[in-house]
Amino acid sequence: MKVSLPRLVAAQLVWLRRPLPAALAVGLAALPAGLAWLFHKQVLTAGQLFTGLLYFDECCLPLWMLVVTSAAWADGEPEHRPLLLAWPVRGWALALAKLAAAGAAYGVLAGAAAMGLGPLWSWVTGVGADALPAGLLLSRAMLTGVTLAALGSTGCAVGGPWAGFGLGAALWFLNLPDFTAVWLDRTTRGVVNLLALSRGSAVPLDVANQRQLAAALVLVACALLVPMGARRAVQRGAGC
Amino acid sequence: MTGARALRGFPFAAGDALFRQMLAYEARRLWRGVPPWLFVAAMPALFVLIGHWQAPGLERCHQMLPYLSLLNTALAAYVAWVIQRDRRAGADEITLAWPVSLLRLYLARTLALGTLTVTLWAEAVVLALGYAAVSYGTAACAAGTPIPVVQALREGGLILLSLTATFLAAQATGQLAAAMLPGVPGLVALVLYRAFTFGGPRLILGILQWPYALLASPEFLWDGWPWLARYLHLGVFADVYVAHQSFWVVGSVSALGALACLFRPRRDRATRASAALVMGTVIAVIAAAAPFVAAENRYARSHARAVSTYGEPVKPGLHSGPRREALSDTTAPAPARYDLVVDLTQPPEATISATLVLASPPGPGDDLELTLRRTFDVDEVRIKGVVVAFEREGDLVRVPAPSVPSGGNLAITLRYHGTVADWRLDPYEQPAALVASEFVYLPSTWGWYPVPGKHRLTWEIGMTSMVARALADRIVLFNDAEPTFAVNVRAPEGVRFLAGFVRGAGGTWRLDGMRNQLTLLGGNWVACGDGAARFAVPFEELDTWQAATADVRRLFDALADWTGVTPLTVVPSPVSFVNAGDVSLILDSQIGRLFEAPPDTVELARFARRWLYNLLSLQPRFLGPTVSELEGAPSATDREFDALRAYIVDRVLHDVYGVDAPPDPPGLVPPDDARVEAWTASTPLEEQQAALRHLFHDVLLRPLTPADLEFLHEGAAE
Repeated sequence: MKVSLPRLVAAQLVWLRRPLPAALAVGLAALPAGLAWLFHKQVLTAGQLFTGLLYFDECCLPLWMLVVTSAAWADGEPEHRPLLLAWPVRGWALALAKLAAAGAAYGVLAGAAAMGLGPLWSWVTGVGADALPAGLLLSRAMLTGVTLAALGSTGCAVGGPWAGFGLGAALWFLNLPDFTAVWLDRTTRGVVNLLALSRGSAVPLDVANQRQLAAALVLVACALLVPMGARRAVQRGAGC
Repeated sequence: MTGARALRGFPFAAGDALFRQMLAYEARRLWRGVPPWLFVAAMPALFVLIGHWQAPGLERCHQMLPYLSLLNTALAAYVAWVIQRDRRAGADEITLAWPVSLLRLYLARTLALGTLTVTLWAEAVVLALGYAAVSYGTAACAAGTPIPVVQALREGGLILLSLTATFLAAQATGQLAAAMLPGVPGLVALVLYRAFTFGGPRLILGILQWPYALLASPEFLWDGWPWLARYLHLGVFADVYVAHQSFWVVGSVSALGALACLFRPRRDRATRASAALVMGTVIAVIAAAAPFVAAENRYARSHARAVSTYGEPVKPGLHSGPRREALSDTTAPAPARYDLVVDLTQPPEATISATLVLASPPGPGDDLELTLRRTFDVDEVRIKGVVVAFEREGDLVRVPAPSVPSGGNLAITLRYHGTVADWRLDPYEQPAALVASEFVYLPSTWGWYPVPGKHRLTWEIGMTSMVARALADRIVLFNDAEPTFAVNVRAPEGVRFLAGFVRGAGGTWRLDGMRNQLTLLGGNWVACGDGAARFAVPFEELDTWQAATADVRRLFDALADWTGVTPLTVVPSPVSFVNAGDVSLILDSQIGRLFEAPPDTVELARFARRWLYNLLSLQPRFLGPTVSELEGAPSATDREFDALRAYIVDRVLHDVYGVDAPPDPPGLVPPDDARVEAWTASTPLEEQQAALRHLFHDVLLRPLTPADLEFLHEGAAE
C-alpha cells in the first residue's frame, strides 16, 4: 500500500493532539504577556523587556518545536512501537513526515510570535516596532527550531522519544547559560548559537544565520537518513 | 502490637533477605551501563577544568556550581530515565509479579541510584574540601599566622552543605519528575524547571521572593548570593544561605522517602506506617522551609518598612529628567566644616554625633532645615552648646535658627541613632547600607550625616537597558561650599580594615578629608602593600594576592606618577559607588576578580582608561562630564582635558608595557587637541609629569577653570 506524503504528514498530527504540546503552547503564549505586565508594573525596564522578548523568540519557542518533534515520534514508545513498524513507507519518508508535521505547527506559532512581538513591544512601550522586525524574528525562531527539531528527530529515530528529546534538550540546555553559550558561539564560529539576537553573537548576525541554516540542513539530512533502529531491522527482515 | 511486629511491618525493613538481593541486582544493573562511569569521570574533569586556581575554596566551589548544575541536570534526567525503566521497556507487568513489596522495589532502585549520587558527591567533596584546606594552609603560611580554624571550618561546612544539597536535589528532582509525569513529559518538566532556575533569577528574583527562591534549585545561588557573598564572606547572607541549602537537603531526603512510600500502585495496600511516614516527610519539608522563610522575611520587612516610612516601596518608581534641578536646594546655607563621631560597635545600630559649622547661617527668623535619613532618631540638637527644640518631618530636621551676626559661623551639633540595614532589590538583594559584625557599608550618599537644605535621598534614573540607582543627593555642590570633614569611627569588632581611614589609638578609625571620601567601607580584611597602592585582602587570598596583582601594581605606580593621586586603595567589593567620587578608592570588581586571577593586558588598559576618565567625571562640580547633556557642545577646556587624559593613558601604558601596550579598543577614537599635541612635543617628560600632577592636585580640590590649562599655552609658545 502506498501512502502519499501529505496523508502521511496528516497522520502524524494524531500525536500532536496530545495535551503536552497544547499546554506548553498556552504557557509560552502567556510569557510575552507576563513580561509586558511586569514592564507595566515597572518591575522590568524597557531594556529588560526587549531582551526578554528576544529571549522568548529565540529560546523559549524553539523548545516547543523540540517537544512537538518528540511528541510526533511517540509511536517510538514501547506501547506504540508496532505502529511505527507498520508504516508502509520508507524510513526517510516517515522522518520527513514527522518533521513536516512538527514544522508546520511550529511555523504557525513562530509566525504568530514574529507578527505579534513587534506590535506588543510598540503598544507597551510606545516606541516604534522597528526594533523587532518580523522577518528577523521569524528567521531566528525558525532556524533555532529546525536545528533542535532535526537533532531531536535524529535521536528519536535512533533511540526513541526519550533519546530524541534528551539529545535536543542537551544542546538547548548547553546553549542556555551565558558561559557555555559564549564558548559554543566562539568555538563553532556562530554555527551553534541558538540565541544570536538576544545574546549578541560573536559573529555578525547574517553570517550566524547562514551558518546555522547550513547546520540545520545537515541535521535534517541526518534525521532523514539515520538508520531507524528496530524498524529498519524488522522491515529488512520482511523484505520491505 | 509488639515492637518486633511493628518493625516487621515497617516498609523499609532493609534486613529482609530478598531486599538485599534486589538492591544488589539494581546496583549491578545500574553500574554495568556506561552513563554512571561517564558521570564519575566527568566530576574530577569538571573540577580540574573549571574555576580559577587562585580562588579560595568556597569561591572555587561556587565557580564550579554553574557547571555542576549542567552535570546535575544530566544526572536528574538519567535518574528519571532509570526509574521508568520498567515502563519504557514494557516490563512493568513482569515487575508487578515479583514476590516483593513494591515499596521495597522502589526503595532498592532509589538506593542503587543513591550509590551513584553518593559516589559523585564524595568525589566533589574530597576535591573541594582538599582544595580549601590547601588554600587556607598556604594563606596562613603567606601571612605568617595560624590558620583561623573557625573561619576555615565555617567555609568547609558551607562547601559540604552546598554539595550535599546540590547532589541530593539532582536525584530527588529526577525521581519527582518521573513520578509526576511519565515518559517524555516528565523530562520536559525537568528541563523546564532547571531552565527556569537559570533564567528566572534575572527576571523574577525580587518579585516573588521566597516562594520562588525556596523552590529554585540549590545551584541557582551562583548567580546571586555568592556574587555578594564572595566579598562579604557570607557574613550577611549566611543565615539565608544555610537555610536554603538545608531546606534542599531535608526536602530531597524527604521527597525520596515519600516517593518510596507512595509507590504502591495497583497491587500493594497502603500500610499505616507508610501513611505516617508520608505525613512525617511533609511536616519535615515544611519545618525545613521555615528558617528560610523567616530569613527571607528580612526583605519583606525592609520593603514594608520602606513603604511605611517613605511612602514608596523599596524599589521606587522611575524618574527621569535633569538631576540637578530636582536634587539641589539652592537656598540652603553652606556648610564649612563637619566633625563626625560614629559609633558602630553595636551593629546594626549606629550612634552618631555630628557637628557642622555653617558658613552662611539663615537669617533671623528663618528656620534651618537639615536633611538626615529618617531612619535615625534624633536625640538632641545643640546650637552653640545649648540644647534647642527641633521638629522632625520625614527626612528633615527643622531647627529654629538663632540670631547670628552677619558673616559669622554657626555650629550645630546633632546626636542621633538608628539601625543601619537598608536592602535594595535591583534585581538581587543588595545592601544600600549595612552595618554587621564583619562588614560596614555606609555610602556617603545614603544620608547618614546631616546636610543643610532639603534634599531627596532616593533617586532612580530610567534608562533603556538598565536602571542605575543613585542616591544622588550629594553629587552636587552644597551651594558652592566644599566643607572639610573630620571623622572618627568606632567600627564593629570584626572589622579590621576601613577603606581610606587610619587606625588610631583605642581602635578608632580617623579620616580628615573631603565629602567624596566619606563612604564607610570596611570588612574582615588584611591591609597589604605599600607604595602607590594598598590592598584590602581577605585572609584566604593572602597567598595569592601578590602574584595576582603584580601587573596591577605596576599600572598603579605609573598612574600615580602621572596623576599624583596616591595612595590608591583597592577594596574587595561588588557594590558600585556611583556617586562616591573618591577616585583613590578602587573596587577590585572593576578590574575583575583581582585577588584570584591576574587580569590580562587588555583588561588593565581598559581599566586605566575608565579610571582616568572617571578621575574627574564622577565629580561634576569640577568639570561637566556630560557637557553635551547640559550645555550642548563641549568647551575648549573639556576638549583639552580629554586630550590630556588620553595622552596620560598612552604614557602610562607605554611605561608599563613598552611597545607591547595594547592598542585602543575598536571604535574608540582618542581625543586629540592641537595645543596638547604641541605641548607634549615640546616639553620634557619630567616637566609634563610635574605639570599634570599639579593640575590634578588642584582640580581635585576646586573647579577646573580655563586658567588651569594655561600651561599648555606656555609650553606650546616655547
